[in-house]
Amino acid sequence: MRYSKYVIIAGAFLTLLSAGCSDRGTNVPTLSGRSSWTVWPDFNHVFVPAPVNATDTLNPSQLLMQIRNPACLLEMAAYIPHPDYVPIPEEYRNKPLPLLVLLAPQDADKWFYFDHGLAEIAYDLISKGTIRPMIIVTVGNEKVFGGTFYGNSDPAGHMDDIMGDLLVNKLVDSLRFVASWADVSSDPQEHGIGGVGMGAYGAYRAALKHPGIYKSISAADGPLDFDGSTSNGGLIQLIPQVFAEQGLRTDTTWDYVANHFDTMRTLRLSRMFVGGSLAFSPHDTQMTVSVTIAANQRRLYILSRQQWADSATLVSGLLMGQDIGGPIGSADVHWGFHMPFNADGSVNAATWSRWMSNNLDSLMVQAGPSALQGVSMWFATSPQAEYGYHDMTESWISTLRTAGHSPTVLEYSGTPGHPATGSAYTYNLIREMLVFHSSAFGN
Amino acid sequence: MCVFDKGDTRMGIIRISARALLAITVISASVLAAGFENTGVGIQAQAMGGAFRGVANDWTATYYNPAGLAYMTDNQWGVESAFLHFRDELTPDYRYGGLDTVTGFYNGLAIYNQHAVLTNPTGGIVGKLPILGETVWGLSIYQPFDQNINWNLYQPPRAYNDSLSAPGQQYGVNLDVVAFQFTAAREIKPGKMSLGLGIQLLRADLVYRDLKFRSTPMTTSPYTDVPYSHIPEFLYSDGNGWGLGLRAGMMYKLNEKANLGVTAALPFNITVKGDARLDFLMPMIKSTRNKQTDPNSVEYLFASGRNVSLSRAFETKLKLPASFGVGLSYKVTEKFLVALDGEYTLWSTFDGFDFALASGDGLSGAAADPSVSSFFTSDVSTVVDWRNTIKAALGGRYNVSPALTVLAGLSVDQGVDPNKVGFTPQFVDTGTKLGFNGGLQLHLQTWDLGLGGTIISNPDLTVDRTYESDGSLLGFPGLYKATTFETILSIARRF
Repeated sequence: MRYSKYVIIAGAFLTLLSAGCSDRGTNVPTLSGRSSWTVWPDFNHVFVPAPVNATDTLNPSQLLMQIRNPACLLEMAAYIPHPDYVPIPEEYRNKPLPLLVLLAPQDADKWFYFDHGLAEIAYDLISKGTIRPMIIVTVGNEKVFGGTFYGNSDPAGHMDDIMGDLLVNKLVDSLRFVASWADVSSDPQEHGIGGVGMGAYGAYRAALKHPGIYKSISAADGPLDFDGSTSNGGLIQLIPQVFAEQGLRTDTTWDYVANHFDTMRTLRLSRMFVGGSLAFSPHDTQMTVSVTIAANQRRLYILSRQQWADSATLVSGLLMGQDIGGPIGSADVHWGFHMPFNADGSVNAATWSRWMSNNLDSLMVQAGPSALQGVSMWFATSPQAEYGYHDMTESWISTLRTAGHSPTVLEYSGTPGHPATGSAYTYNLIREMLVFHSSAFGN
Repeated sequence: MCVFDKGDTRMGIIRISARALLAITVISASVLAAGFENTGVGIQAQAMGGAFRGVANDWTATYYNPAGLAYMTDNQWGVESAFLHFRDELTPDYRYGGLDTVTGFYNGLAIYNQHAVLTNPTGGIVGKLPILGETVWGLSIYQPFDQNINWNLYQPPRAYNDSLSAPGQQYGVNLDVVAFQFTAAREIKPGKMSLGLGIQLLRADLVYRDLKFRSTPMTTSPYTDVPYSHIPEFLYSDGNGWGLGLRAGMMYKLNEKANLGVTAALPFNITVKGDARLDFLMPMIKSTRNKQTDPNSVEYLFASGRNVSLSRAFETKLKLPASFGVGLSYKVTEKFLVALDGEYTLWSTFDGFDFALASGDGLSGAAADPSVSSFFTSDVSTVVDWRNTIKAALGGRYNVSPALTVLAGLSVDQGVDPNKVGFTPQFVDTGTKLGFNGGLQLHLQTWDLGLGGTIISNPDLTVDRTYESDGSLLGFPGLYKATTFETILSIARRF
């Protein structure tokens, strides 16, 4: 047995090495089901009072006269977590779900947030218990010009009438008819609104026009202060870019500018200004119409219309409205609007003042100091944001802080070669927004 | 005049060896990085940490120092098998920007490489033939380079594509370079110096799996937005090639007890050819897809969630590094021998793989549209920026009895990638490594049976995120941990 100790050493050695060769597995998580059966995707809503009789006469209301929207639809989609498919925690089962309304940015429709992963992100966060299960309704922006700031006018639609209790109550009352398991909380503390870009403006506009309806607001870089931090920046500094985008010189006449203005889809800045003009400085300031139903078709008749007298910035004949016509002779369906600049590219004071009366700080003054009281606010902003939105957002945040509010601000950047412009990182922001609103809804 | 007695001489050599090893260790820790070189050949050499250039007294001399064959008194054949286990760990940190992102990688979760105990057989025969007098000839087969590791690190986020799964083991490499070496060695100065030269026929087999994120060729939202902005491209390539190499050595007997060995290995580039399959997992943007009226349009394809597959012949260049070594051995007593080795390897030669794809058909429908076809057919490359490395080894051999030899060794080996440029999970070389080696040899008449083992400990390494100009990540960021275990069984016979 003279070699016994060496045999023992060799055995121990082999044991050590074999232990180092044991199978640990890979630690890769097991795939869960990849079904996304958690969403009721389409939930359009008609927003117009029905005519009482064939000769009913009323002022244009809600979406009745919105351009190219003959059905008067507010297009929406909804994420509604189904308890059979989403692992909803026990404490939230059979309880009303909080409501979050997300407004699409410019040039985006009701699918915008879904196209950026909303359903999958919500599923992921709910199933992990990171957020409360909630109903998320996404509202599309105006389709023809890519968005009209969720403003309030005949051609843009009377969104101020819609975006408050009217919308929330309709959702509370009617969502269960399209999804039987859906039960929307009627507690305002559990109602939130948010948006990206132009949708961010729309969210604050809705909250200021309807104090108390939304108790949490999330916003990611948008036109939140029209004249920026310097009172001469913001949208004003974009005017030369609009001229450049249109290929227009600044030494022509206004007629030349108006007759050569184009709204094609690739001209995004120009479309933003057209949308803003339709919302804030439309040529038609008040319109009276009659509505009739004949052969299952709605017919509109313009009875009277008041128009802004200024002609220095008027663009007329560019935009065709819905085919209303009729025997009364007021069938001019061309929508005119006033741009906030002159032929030489300078700001037109008269039109600009109409825009500025829709600026958020003006709306906050109109709403009173208590309008945003008790409202949780969250912002995401990036210095790389397009159109100077970062400065406009920072300026609005500053205004809120001066007014005594304490919004949460997430400042972020993209990666080299993939900057945080447009909706490049909306996928990431949605996650942050949902977490914020869930926290604001409370337990 | 000698002022030391024998004991002082031994202690002096041990001290000098220890200091030299310490110095090399310090240099190693402050300099560069190592790659996919095999851990070694032979029970004696590996159990001594690779400190074998100044010893080279068995059939594995063809690998360590061909000149050592000249002093072999017996013919010998031997075979061995090494059982290798890469026990690595990667905690991914694969994100776009500073936002908390679900990218599909298992960020923050420690993932282990696919379990595999790799077998690495080696064999050789050396002997004196009646050709050119006292020249000793050898024929051996071994693997100078070997790498085999696979990882499963990714599944597409639901928001990207909730209907298709990624193929398993998205990152991996199985590279075998086998040398068929014909060696000749003879004494130049009898009893003093010998030279040896081996001519190698190299066979390279390469299976390479990779996952690249390609910047989308689309130009509008939502295609250009996260998570659709970068499209995963899975590469699977399988090829082989032949090349040549040289391995030369010199053995110089400083005195009765000390040997000096100097070696050089010069492998030439190998062109690897084979077949590659590319799989592009397209985004599924449901509503955008549904808006498309033409299912053959490019817009539809990039929102379809389809898998676009393409097979192509490929060609890539395997640039193997040359290396130079020097070794010293000293017989402290008749029973006890110590050896010290240093090796300098030109890993800067290796710059990764550039898979040049052959042109040809294979795309159909919208993928063949000229506006996007080049997106699917671009060459795939993995670029690394490696540095030359130093390896130092200190080994000892003690003949307990005529029937038993005990071996031990320690090695220090630099990492190849100190700048961590393009660091990938296929080559987990995290920095200066420490190797702990040991073994036993049983001598039964003309038979030598061996058992040895090696544990190589790598430092932990954090690879930070580095972005390329198109916003994709260079290499694979995350926290890497690695330990390698190896067991060697050998048998040889003198005749």
